[in-house]
Amino acid sequence: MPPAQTSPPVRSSDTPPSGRQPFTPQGKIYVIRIIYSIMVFTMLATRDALCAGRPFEHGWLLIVLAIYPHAGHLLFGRLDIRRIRGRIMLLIDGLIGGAFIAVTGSIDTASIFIAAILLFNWMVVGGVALVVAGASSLAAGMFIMGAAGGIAPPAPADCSLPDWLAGLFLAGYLLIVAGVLHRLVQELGLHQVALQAESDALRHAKALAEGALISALPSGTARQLANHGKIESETIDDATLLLLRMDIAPPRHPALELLGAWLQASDLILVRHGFEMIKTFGSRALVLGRTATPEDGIAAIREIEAYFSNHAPAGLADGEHLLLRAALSSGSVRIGPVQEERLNLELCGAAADALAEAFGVLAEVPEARLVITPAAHARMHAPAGYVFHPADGCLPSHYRPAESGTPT
Amino acid sequence: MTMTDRPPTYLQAYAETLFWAIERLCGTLDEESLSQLIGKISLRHLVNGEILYRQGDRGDEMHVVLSGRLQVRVMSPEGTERIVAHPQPGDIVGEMAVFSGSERAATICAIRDTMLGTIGRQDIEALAARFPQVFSNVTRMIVRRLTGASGHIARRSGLRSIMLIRLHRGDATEEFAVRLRMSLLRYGSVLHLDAATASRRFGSEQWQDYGRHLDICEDEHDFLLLEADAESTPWNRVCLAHADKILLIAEAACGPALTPTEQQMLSAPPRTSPADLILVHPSGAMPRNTRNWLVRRNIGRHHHVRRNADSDIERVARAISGQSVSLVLAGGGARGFAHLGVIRALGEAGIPIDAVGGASFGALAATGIARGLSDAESLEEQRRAFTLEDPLGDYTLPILSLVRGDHLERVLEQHLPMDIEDLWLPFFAVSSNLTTSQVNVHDSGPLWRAIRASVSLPAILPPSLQNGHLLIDGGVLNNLPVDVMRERIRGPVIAVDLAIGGDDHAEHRSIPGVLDYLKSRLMPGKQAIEAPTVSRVILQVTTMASRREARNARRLADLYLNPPLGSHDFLDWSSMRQIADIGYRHALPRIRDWLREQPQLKDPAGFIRALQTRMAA
Repeated sequence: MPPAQTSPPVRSSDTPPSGRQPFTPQGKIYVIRIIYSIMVFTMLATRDALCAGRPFEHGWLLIVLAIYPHAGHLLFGRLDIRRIRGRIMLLIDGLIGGAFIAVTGSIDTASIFIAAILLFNWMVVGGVALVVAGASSLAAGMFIMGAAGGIAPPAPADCSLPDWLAGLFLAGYLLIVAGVLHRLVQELGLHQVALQAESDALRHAKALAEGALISALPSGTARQLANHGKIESETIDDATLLLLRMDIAPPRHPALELLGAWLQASDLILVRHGFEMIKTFGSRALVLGRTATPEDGIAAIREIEAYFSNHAPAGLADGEHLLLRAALSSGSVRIGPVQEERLNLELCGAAADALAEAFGVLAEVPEARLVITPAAHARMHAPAGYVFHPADGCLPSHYRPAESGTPT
Repeated sequence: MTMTDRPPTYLQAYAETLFWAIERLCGTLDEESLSQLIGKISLRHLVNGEILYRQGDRGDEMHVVLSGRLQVRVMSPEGTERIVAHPQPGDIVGEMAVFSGSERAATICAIRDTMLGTIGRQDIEALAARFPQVFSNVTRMIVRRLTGASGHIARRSGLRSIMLIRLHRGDATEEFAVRLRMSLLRYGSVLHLDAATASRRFGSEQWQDYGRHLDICEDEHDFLLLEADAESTPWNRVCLAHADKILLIAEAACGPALTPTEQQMLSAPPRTSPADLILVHPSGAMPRNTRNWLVRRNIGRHHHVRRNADSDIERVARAISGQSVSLVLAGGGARGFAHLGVIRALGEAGIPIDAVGGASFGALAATGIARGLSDAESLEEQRRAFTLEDPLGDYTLPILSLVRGDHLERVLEQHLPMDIEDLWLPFFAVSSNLTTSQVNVHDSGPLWRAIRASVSLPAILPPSLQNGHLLIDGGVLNNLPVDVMRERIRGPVIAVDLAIGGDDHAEHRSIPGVLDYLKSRLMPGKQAIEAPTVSRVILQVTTMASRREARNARRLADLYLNPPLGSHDFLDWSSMRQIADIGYRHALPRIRDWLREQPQLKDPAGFIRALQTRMAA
């Protein structure tokens, strides 16, 4: 997949959209507590009314069971269950459960069921510490109920309805818990997939960003950064340097689009001839050839010139044309970062100094189109066709093409 | 031999080319011998599309290409024809049959108006008797050509003159032409001419001289873009005679009807190579009903291009310059998720993919990238398809097959409702034809039907019945169809194989019992025994016939990847992420190493564009 085909990360959501508002975690706990209190209420009321024949034997406990989930939700419902204060209601559950166990007897099926689900809840929510605290509250509930004399005589042995109810509740409760766990596992799976997709997307984005950073650098420097993880200064003994300048004739300031078209095409041509653009300033471009020869530089200049002579870029008015002027030097040069935080690269050395001087000739000699330093001329395999101009005042000695001022 | 020697008048226009060719053939000749030889050369003109000779013909003449361009096509024993070269001025053709006395080894025709210098067998024999070096030079030439070391086979990608015909004269097609010119600069120097610029450049000479001027321009530039006039003009006729390839540029939104320009073009003599069609789509549009465009025209290839999308235009530039990067993906069931990891690695390394194809699950994986999906989107789509929709879940009595296949067809039809012609990238899938025992290449028509045929693993799924032919899994005959890609697309090919027995070959010392095998897998602390499981054996049996092809494919591929997926079987759908990750980790360092030798393949601007797209999203 080419970088261009990248898309934003895929969000994983296999749950079909629904118009129902999902419960908040506090809401879910509230519902669970209501179910819990209804179960205890039903078992206690059944035992008192149908087995013992005293329907209001523990009327006050029934009232507490009916009220406490709602009151608790009003008072503590907004607290986070993951914090200690948020677990107060779980301890109240223990007190209520303890009271129920004290009433029904500790070896009763319903009591064992209530104790089991309380211990399970505590273990799930708070681990061993909450189990210990919860068990204490359970014991406290039993103690308070015993001290208050609320313990009823045992139910007749032939009254098995509370046991059946407890069994039924246990089965229902287990089914609900299993369903909840199943959904939780599914959600965890989806969450994991989403996380994985997000992690892949981040990794991909990181690779793209690295690629973009490396692409923005001159190719040689980019290679260095990619291979060694840092940019170090290096000396190139036989570098060829070009300083290009694009003018519009008749003279005027170029617009950004025109500069863009010029730089884009010039860059592609220069790369093919073994050069890399180091930096640009307006219509000027500093170009380095690590292994390219002065002839390669002249060939690149010729091709750029021919390209724009054949294809006038958009933004030029009728009668206008682009004029390429260039200085060429050759020799030892040192390239490296001068401001690492901005990835600002700079060139220095004899060849760079000679290039700057040669570029000065272009400013002083309007008809000059290509200026070659003596060192670059000495490196040329076919040096004929260039005329030597000795140093003259502030102008350094240099070579220019024999015919007219153009490189061709 | 010097350039001052004057050939006869009728050859003077081609003197330089002729001298160069003779020097290659005979070495340096004295003036008398040279003039004798030149006197034996006669001119022969071929019009665009004319055949010089056919494969199997008797060879009595040898030819020097003086101007224009030829195409060399070779018919394989299987009956498929391949373009192997484009001889151009200075190249010599036909010498092999003349010197060996054998039949012509290839068919040669002109792909533009071409002038040849022709020498008969008797003259050549007389020449060779006088200058024995001719034998050694010709032998060297033939050997080089056969090994592809040089000669016109090495320059087979040489499409140099491209005629641009804008079927619609809107901004979109004009922009495309300008951007294409810019994109081609990456591969060579470009000259873009229309009638007005040609007239300014060549002066007001006769139109018949324009061909010679264009030859000169072609010598000076790597690519000539010749933009046609909207009306039928002499300039258009010059372009038609000179162009190696015609690009028809159309705005997809304008509808597929033939334009007046095309109707005038159709009245011209038929060309050897059909035109390519560029469909420029508005931003955000998806290709639709491309078939309607293709049935009305003689089109070789078509390219879908989004307006202002540089990446699409660069794809066309790579196709023209013979630098298209193709990806071929092998079949291997769930092991094919590794392809998605490889695709991600290619993206991260900055390698664009210009064409895709594959067999079986490889073809399915290729559909994602051909539709323009990222690897993440492809993976998510396939995760949903294979985990939620369970396409292979409709088990049946194992008489015809293990799975009924109806569910798979529904899932494929739902996810891949488009035609292959409407995909962003050139695409093909291969299947094995039980009726003809040949490989079927699906490169047009409904995508889901192509994939259904390509993934029909014998015994697991019933064969797919298409046009009276029973088609089964492409992996049975050609599991890694690099050869099919090579025939279609010019440029480097990356092949991803999933062969068991590659890097992850497991040594079997004995076949364990079922209980021992299960114990080793299930009991903690025991080392897992490697054994040829049923699924592995089925996979190996179905791809066994194509193993030899795969070895050939490995040789044909420029980059061959075979991720080590030892522990993952071809039905291991649940491990898609792990498998994709293995593919990614295996591919990334190898791709980066390969890229160091092929820096021109990297698309540096692609990273910036991808980041911009991502941030905009």
